[in-house]
Amino acid sequence: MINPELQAQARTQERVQRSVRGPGLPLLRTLYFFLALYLPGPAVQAGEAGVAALSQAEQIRLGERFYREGILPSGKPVQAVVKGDLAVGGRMFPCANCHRRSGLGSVEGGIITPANTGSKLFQPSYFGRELTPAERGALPEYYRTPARRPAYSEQTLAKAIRSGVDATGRVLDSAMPRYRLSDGEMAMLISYLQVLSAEPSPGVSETTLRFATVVTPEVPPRDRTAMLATLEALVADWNRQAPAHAERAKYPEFAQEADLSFRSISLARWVLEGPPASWRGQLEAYYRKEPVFALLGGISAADWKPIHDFSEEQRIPCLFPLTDFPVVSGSDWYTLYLSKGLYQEGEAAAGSLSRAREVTAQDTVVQVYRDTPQGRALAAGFEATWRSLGRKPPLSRILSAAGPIPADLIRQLSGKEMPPVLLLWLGNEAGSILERISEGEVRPKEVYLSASLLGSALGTLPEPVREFTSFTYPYRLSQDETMHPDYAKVWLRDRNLPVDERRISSRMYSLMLLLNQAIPKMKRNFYRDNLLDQVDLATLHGYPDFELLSFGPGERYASKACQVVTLSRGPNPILIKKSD
Amino acid sequence: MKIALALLLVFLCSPALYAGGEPAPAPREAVSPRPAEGQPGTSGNGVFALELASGGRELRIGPNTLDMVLRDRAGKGVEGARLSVTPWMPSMGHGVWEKPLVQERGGGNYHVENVIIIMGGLWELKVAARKGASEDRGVFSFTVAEPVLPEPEPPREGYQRSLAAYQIPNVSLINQDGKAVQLSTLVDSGKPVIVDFIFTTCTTVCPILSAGFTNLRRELGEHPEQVQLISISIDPENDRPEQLKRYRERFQGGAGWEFLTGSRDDVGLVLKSFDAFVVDKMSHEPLYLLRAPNGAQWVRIKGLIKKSDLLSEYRKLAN
Repeated sequence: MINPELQAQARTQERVQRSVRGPGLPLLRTLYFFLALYLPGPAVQAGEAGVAALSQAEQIRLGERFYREGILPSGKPVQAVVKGDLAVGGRMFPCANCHRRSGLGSVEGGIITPANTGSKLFQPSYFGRELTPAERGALPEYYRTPARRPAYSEQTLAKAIRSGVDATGRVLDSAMPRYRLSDGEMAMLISYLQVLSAEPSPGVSETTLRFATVVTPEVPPRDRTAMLATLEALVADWNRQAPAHAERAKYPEFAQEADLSFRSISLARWVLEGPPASWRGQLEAYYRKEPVFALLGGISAADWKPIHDFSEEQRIPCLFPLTDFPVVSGSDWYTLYLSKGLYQEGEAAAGSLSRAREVTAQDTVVQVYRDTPQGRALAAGFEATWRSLGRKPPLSRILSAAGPIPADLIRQLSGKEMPPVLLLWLGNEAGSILERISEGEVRPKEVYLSASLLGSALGTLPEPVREFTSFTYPYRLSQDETMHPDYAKVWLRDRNLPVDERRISSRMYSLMLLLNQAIPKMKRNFYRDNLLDQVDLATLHGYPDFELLSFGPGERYASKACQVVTLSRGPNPILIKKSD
Repeated sequence: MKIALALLLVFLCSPALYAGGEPAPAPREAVSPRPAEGQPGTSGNGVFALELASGGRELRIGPNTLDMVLRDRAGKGVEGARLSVTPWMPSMGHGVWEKPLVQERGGGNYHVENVIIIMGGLWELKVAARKGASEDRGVFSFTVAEPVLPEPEPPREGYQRSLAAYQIPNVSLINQDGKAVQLSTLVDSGKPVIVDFIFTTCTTVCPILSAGFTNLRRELGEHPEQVQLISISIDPENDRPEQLKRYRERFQGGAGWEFLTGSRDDVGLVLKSFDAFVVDKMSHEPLYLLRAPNGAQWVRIKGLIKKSDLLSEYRKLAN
């Protein structure tokens, strides 16, 4: 199934190609075309002859696969040499690793990787700021910076990729691999580079970057207001910078990248209605009416999957949506979540239990949860991690979504049938079970609950219960907050925004910190993939709420761990990190 | 073994203390406030006596471990006390981020780990001991030597080579199969060892370092496991065993090449011991640490190197 975007790219590529094609290759191509008529071969996995005979769209698709994964049309990994004599195979050094998915390059470990998109390769590259040819021409002579290299042609580019000699005849750094590509494979790659980040993404104009935020119908009005109000305050702050940047941009000799690239932000509200199955259609209708560059925040108390799938398939970034049910995937690209939500609490329980000294490999683990999205997420996170640690799969006791706790369960949990490890993924109704356990004679070795599900009931658990219970808690503990100045609270208070215990406004504050770093680093390369590439390079100063946030290439769940805590004694208990 | 030695030395030295015999080598005593005359070894309120066992004579920059003995006025070891140790630098008015960890060893012996000293100068270890209602404090002073930079060899073809000695901390890390691995056991296996520092989402530096290992193993032919390769993650929160396993497959890893991760604290301790700690993983530098079987010194290679250079460095180790 060909993506309409790729078809548009194919048309662009034809246009660009006509301006840069040199002699030589077309003749070879014609020969290959005739050969292809006589040689067999599947259309997708193609041998040399097959590559040249493929449609532009198919070449671009294979070129993208090569660029991102290092796999040739034949299905084999490409061979390359790096550092002069280190032989490497395709999966180790796909182009996208260093040049990034957007093709805009990166800086890491002291190695600078320049851009390798066709639109940049086939133009000269200058030192200093990225200016359009018109801007550069308008600069007084004194302010013009020299060119680093002239434009590549298809031949000189092929030479650079195969032998590491650039358009000036200099040798490229040995960190750039020298790839062994046939003519057909090289042409396929160059076809792809010519469409890679060739046109700015939708939702960008000379003055404005258009974003949208998604709100689903079941979210309580108070939560919806908290998110929207904070997002709009963030947008207002950002837009207040516009006059200063515009003023400096009037002087092209002195204007910085940040001035030239500054765009105001507009934020549309995409309010969804009805059942989740209808959301995808509504999202597409909103998008058709007014395309956006990316989605910011968003909030849902139900499934986020329809929106995640929309982002993934339309390749639209979505940054820090507020949901307890992120889609947990090892390979999806376009949605960046603050954490894996309740799934992550299940993961943390498994990690903590695996380190508990009295819990042996033979001990049975029983998970009790209701058949609701919350229960399922916690149980799934626990089970996946528990199994990956090589442990016996846990037993599950699934209760219906509503209704009282069955009597037989309560019986089981207070007698000899008590399991050694009990996970109670329940809300405040867990309190009655816990009291029965504390009154009984048999105690489990470990009992875990989720602080998120318990909510305010956590602080009121009776003292005898606190002796044997542990809780998964996704945030930084309040006693650790003293080490981290609370800039978020100050910022919110100054704008009369509530600091809510659901942490909605503070998580949108984190989004603001992220945008402040990532958007300026795009410069004027307004490509959606570039936004995500710059997000990956963000640093972590001053983020509230989470203990262990980090970003990195391809990392899509910023919070890397969740705490396991116990409850202290006394009328105003605090949470204490559980020691291993 | 160390505890026995410490106990033995304490036992040997205490007659010297109490009987007024030869003071050297005497265990360090808590000094502030000044101990009362004729009552050597008491501290603070005089409720407890704190001593450092001989293993704790010096503090160096980086991670340190100490053994302390807590005794009551009768000279009997105090068990079950809660000890807290706080490093403090009086001239600079600051402490350190990391909290020392105290483990009770019985008989009044307490083992203190994770005492991270960040610079040279005069340092104090403030110790508070509490058992039941009894509470006491003491202070030990140390002069920490300024760091001595290793002599670098002249750079050869774009990489820096120097020699260094590292103390491997006593931690257990987790390998790509999820198994616990004692780092010191891996390093002291009797094989030549090469260590590098990677993270699985690294785009530029780590693939080159790892490709170096891939090529080295290929050169060793039938028995690539004759060299112990260790890749330690500098992003332990993200690099769980499954991620390490996938990365290892990408680089055709197998027996003899271990990828290690663990808790942030444990991995941080290891990185600091190897002088490879960075705050932001994106600014890490390419590093190979090589050591001959059971050797004392490590060869520290900073920079990305060619296969032929790695091979020649390896051959020097193996001989």
